[in-house]
Amino acid sequence: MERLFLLVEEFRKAALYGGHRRVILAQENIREIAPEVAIILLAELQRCSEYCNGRTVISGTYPKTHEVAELLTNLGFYDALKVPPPSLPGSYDRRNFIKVVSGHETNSETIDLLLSEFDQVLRLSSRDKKNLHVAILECMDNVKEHAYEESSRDPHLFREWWLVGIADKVTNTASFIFFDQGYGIAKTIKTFERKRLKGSFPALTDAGWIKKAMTQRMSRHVSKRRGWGLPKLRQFIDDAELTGSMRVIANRGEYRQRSQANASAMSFSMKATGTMISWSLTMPPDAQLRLDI
Amino acid sequence: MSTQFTYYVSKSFSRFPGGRKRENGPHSGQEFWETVTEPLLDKYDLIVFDLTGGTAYSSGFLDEAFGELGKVIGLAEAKRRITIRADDDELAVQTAWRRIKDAAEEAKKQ
Repeated sequence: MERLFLLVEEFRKAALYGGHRRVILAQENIREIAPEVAIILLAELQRCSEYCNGRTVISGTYPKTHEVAELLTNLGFYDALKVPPPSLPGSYDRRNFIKVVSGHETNSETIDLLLSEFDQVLRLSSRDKKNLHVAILECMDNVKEHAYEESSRDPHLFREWWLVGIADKVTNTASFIFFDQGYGIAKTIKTFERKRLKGSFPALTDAGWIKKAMTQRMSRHVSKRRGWGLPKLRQFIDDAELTGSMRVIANRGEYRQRSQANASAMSFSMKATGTMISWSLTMPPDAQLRLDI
Repeated sequence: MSTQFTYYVSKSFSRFPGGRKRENGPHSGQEFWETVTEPLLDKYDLIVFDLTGGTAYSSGFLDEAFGELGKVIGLAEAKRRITIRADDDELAVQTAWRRIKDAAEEAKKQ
């Protein structure tokens, strides 16, 4: 992940502050790309395109690997670059079913539309679907209320979030990824906890702060009524009828939680952009994903 | 004051309840409190809120929409006057009552 953080930072610096006439995202040597990585790149591309103001043209080369081309095409990467997608051979057997939406408000209908697209692809129980829906709602509300600072002069797509659903036929998994380019959960929590706890502020890594936020109520408000949203993100995986995992990356930390397993946390030396939350569900062997819809 | 009224959230408010505050997006908990819960409290003695059919209820929505009841009328009166039910989402009902209880406790301390 750290190489990705470095790539994103270098790309942003080159596109926004480099004074170049053209910045090229060379993709021909990408042999595989994780959906989480692709969405972070797409969001960065959209941010830079918005703030380039015509000074710098962003373009790219096509990947040679069909699977990479398929993923990036379906995510809308080439639409964002304003170029036609690479053509795939007629015989190419589609690997993924992908839907992506973005927005800047808490909108339950948007979530419903995206999740409904997957009704024919994977069979989520109504309870799992509802819990996932709640988890995404909590993410949207969190972005709206905490992720971006209104007074910031940084080049933000203010309050923007991206939501991706991906069913992967090869791994027989379905993943839902929520991403924003804000200050990161760990930094946001540290800021208000520092104010609240003053002298007794604990020495935790960013990963430790993320873990704390996923497992207990945390809020900038004193009221017990606030701060119940983030634990709902983990609750979806804890209660899911399917085996699954959850991953949160923000600032210099990562938190992972698998169904019925202990959580793990790890630290990065480099800082991530924003917050990425993903849930991955493994389908049972007798419930193959259907991509032929 | 009339006696009893049943309010079907998914039919009369939205099938897609949103987040906490109005500024966060459509069909927020704050909007629900201001346009539904509070006016119904003034009009009816006993109110049934039926959450059945809502796609999903966020913690922020439930707190804004119902939590204030604990502050405004207290837990005992809320228990007497309010019924919250959902055939398909028992967790939302439990969460709403927890927030009502929290608000009532906090109001007592003030």
